Amino acid sequence: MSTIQLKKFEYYEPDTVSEAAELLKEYGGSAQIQAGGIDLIPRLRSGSIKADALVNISNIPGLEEIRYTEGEGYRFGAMTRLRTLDFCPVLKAKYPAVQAAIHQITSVQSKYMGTAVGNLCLATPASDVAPALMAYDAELTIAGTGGERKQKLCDFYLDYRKTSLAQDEFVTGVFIPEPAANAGDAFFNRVRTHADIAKITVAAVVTEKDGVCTDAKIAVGAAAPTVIRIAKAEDLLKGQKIGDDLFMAAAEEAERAVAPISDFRSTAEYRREMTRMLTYRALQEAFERAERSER
Amino acid sequence: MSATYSWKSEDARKEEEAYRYVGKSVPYKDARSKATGAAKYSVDIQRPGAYLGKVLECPHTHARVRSIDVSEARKLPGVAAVITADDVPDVKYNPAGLEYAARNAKAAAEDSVNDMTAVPRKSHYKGEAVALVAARDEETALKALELIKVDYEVLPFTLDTASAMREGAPLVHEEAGSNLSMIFDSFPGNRGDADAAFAQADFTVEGDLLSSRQHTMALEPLSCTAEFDSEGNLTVWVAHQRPFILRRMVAGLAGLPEAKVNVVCEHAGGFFGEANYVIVPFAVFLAKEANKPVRIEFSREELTRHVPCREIYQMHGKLGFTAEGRLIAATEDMVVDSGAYFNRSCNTLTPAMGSFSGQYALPVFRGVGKIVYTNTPGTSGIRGYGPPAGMALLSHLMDLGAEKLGMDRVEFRIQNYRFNSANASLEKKGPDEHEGSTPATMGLGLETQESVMRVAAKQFGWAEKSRRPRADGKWRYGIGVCDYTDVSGPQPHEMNDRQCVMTLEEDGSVTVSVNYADGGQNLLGAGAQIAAEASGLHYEDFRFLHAQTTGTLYDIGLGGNSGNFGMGNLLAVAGKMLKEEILKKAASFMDAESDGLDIKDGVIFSKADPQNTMPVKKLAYDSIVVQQGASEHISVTARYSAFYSPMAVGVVMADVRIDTETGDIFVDKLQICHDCGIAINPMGVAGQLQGGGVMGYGYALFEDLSLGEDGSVRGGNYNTYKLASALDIPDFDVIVYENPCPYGPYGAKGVGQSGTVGISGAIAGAIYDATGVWMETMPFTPEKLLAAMRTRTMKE
Amino acid sequence: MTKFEKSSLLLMLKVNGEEMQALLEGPHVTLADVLRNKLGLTGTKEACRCGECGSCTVLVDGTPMLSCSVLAVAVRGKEITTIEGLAKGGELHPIQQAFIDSGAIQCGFCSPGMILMAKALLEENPDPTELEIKEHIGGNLCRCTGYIKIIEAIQLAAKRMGKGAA
Repeated sequence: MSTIQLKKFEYYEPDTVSEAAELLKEYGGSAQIQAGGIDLIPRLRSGSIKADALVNISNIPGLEEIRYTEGEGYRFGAMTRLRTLDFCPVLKAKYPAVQAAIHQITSVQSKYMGTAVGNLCLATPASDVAPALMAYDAELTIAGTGGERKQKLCDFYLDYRKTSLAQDEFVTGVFIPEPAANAGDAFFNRVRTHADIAKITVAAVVTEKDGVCTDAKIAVGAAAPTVIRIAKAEDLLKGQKIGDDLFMAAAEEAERAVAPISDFRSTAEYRREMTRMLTYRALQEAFERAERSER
Repeated sequence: MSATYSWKSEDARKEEEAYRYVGKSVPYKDARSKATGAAKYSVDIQRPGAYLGKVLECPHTHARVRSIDVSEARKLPGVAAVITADDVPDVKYNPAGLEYAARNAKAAAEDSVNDMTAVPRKSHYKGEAVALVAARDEETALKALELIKVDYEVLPFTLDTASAMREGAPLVHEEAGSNLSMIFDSFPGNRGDADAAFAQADFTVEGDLLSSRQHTMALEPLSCTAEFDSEGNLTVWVAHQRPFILRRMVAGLAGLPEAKVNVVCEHAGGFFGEANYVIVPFAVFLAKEANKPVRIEFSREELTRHVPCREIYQMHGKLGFTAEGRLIAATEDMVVDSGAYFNRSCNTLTPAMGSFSGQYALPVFRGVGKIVYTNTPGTSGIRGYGPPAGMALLSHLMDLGAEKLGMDRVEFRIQNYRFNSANASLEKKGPDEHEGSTPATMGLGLETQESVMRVAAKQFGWAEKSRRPRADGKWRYGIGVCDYTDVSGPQPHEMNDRQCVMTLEEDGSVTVSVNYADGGQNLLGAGAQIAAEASGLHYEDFRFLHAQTTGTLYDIGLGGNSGNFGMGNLLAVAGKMLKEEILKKAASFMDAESDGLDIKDGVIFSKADPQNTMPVKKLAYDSIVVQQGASEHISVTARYSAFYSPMAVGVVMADVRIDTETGDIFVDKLQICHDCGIAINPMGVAGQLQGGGVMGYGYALFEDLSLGEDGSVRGGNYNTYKLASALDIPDFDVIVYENPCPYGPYGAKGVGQSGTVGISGAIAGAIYDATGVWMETMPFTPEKLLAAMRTRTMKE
Repeated sequence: MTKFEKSSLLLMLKVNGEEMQALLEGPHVTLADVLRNKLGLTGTKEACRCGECGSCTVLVDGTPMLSCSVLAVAVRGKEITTIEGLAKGGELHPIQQAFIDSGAIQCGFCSPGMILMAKALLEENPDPTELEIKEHIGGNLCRCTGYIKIIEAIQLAAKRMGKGAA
């Protein structure tokens, strides 16, 4: 039941990543990392998650930083706010699908408060940000009491709302590799109303040379227990001459690969159909952009 | 970019020229207090020492309480009251209070079904409260709820009207003996023999529509604070449209004399329909038991369960026409899913059928409503109060009629209006000949229908858009029209009594004691404009006391567009009376006959000798302060009872674009043209139409209180039940159409809820125009449209 | 490292330029709860308590935040502006005046949040387009107005404030 007040907890503002990880270890799974709090606080209130302690990481230096290195890629931290990313000119220029995904989610207030990493760590299949980052093959930096490790976002999700994070671990940053010179991307979703949780989300990043697909990554949200990559569709595209028939064949692969549910936002049938239709449209747009960037 | 246009008839222009305040877009009366955060809503009421009330929700959809043990909860320190069905009187009531509201109380009592108890002995829908606690804080209250042990006998349940009406279905109310709570066949506008008329018809058209569970979702969370004083007087703070009806209900339930109950509402964060429903008895019984003020605030999730949504109508409509397309008969069969309680189900059917049967010249009509219980959350009349879904179905049937004859949909409608330029033999009758019938069947206010339609069509570019290609690649384009009628307050067969007291203060301002809380309609602002016009005083001079039943006079309250018309007429009467009293008094001061005096801009003047003047302010001061020994606080008590409820008429037009690959429905233009009589405050009228229109837009396209397989509300917050945001609104033009109505205050008719009524019909009609698909289930989602288009293609 | 135990605490907050103190049951208390129930600043509204409606918007160091989802302890030392802090000496803020003049306030429950969002927008972007306005208030729900007059009010305020600055 949603209440006026939250249940009591202890509250920490650690100064370093290792302090935060130590706290997580100490509480053995009953502490929650707080970044923006836009999802955490309502879920604590509704009782869908519980916490003996909140570990607010906003005072840890460096977690808000954005760093782009030409030829290498784009990094942002666990405390980089959605609003900062939304208005980051580099992100918009280099990774338009990621910016587009971020731009259309949630409210301005929530973007000032919330973080992209927070969004990823919800591990909801209906994330819009995760498919965009997954299509770019983004990598997470994960800190724990034993030190740091890296993990590809596409390997991060184990099941519905379940990640690979150990009890003492949290995500400190995201790295998006530099896209190839001849890459193009696209982001599409369907929503009931603006900024609603998506019924279905498709993101694609492709590269193209002389009318042939050299690489393709397609990620779909809200169509399976986690955000997923569509390997079969990707494989089908690689090395093939691009064109509408190929896109449709890949889109049909995508439709076969998903296992959506029916809920109050949409139906399984519609989600399947839109997986196909939006994959088709995403490939059209992504290859168009790729061709433009090649020229 | 949305635009607002004004269209005025010659009469409207002439009349408005003479007015000082009527017809002016003055800032709303209470806007400053709301802009600064000073306005106090029920949810802001913080009484010293108040305890917090919480409800124990039954975890089953349908379950009888075999036994309930509250002993541990009562023992918990900090708990002041625990209440179950055993602690409240075994009185059945109906929160709509229909038996108090109708002119013929006996007939209405037979029309009303009393099926609620303050705390029930079983859950009729998932989450219904079976026990209440009051504790010093939320944490304690929640702990107390956990300590209550309930032994439930879980019962089978029924969630839809079809299965609820089947033989052997679980009974939502056993004592009723059936889930069919009423067959409503006494609609006063039923006339003629429909079957015989259909047999005579050259052709007929039929169609179905199932409406959705639209929730008011007003922004203010429903709350109620109840407090008894040492004398046993009870004060209840709650957002409420009909305080005196509520007072009677509370007094009856709590066994108190009416005068000991004061219902207070300062500001309301939106009404859109009856909301108080169950929370008031909860707070009152807890406060009584606890002997402390008790405040209950429903969370948004609790609110969506316990505050009623719009009734769900499964409708079948049939129209019969002559070969020329003249409507000769219609039937409307409605199955009403009233949810777990009857509430006002029959009451909303009257305007629903009134609009369906009164829109066109129609000699024969039969409307029948079957009202059915299901184990789902309760329902009530929500903004639009009956008509919105039925108007959509009627509009579709008219489209089908036009289609059969290959006629333009606009012209086809106009030829069926009761009053139109081609129809010389108007069936105009005076209202007195129709006592007991509905406003629509009386035909009051319908004279402008053709003109409103033509103004709308011209502004919209109907003719040009009709010639536009319907298809372009994956896109399909369509336009739709839905003409509607809507009441101006309750039906004439209901009670409509309104009263107020206007007092001229010694500073020359006027205090109005009246029982209307402003839920955002700018009711009191429009009222002040009317009163200022009638009295000759300034708009700024009028101050309204907050609505409360103590110290005010009985008043039916608000609902169904009654503010502008009913309250407006009341304040016009009061303003005139106040002026007369002021002039009577002034006669002695000014050495003149009172009928030789008049007031303008707060100054009394002699009509014969304009130099002979006296400010009302001085008169007010002198008559109280200077005339010691004979001082008089000038005050009038005004009464108004509406015997008419003229129809407000309007036309909605929609221009839609359909993506045939995704089923996406884009409304590129929405336009409403509404005849409000005279716009007391044009800015306010436009605001009401815009707000109502966007509510109708949500009703048409995405709003639906989704229920799970056990009938539980899924989610129940704004993340599951979506309202349109600023980014979702269509390009929406409003035409404020003005032509004075002889019965209204300064020519005004109803407007507040009307924006909602015709939107679904226009959008559904445009979708049909674009795709040939009539969507039989609201809301009209891409999922449903895509599936329907596919079925249609397969058939072809 | 800063730590707050699960016990009551006295919190100093700077609200509308004034130092205020409130006794909290613990660090779990939200800013909205403190403002409304402990400081009596009920101009800040709560309609959903899940970050979906925007009614509880306040400005924290000028940034619009949802006070239902902010812990009060997390904003200690920051400047908090609520709707009560906008009018100075009885003189309304131009945005408040524009809302009144445009008929943008109906029931008024969303108005405090809308007005504060408008303030944040116009300080960042004095001449916003219609789409920018819609995007900015896209997270503030209103059930009464259909938003059209709210958008007009923000445009009017932008115009008036722009003139004042020029």
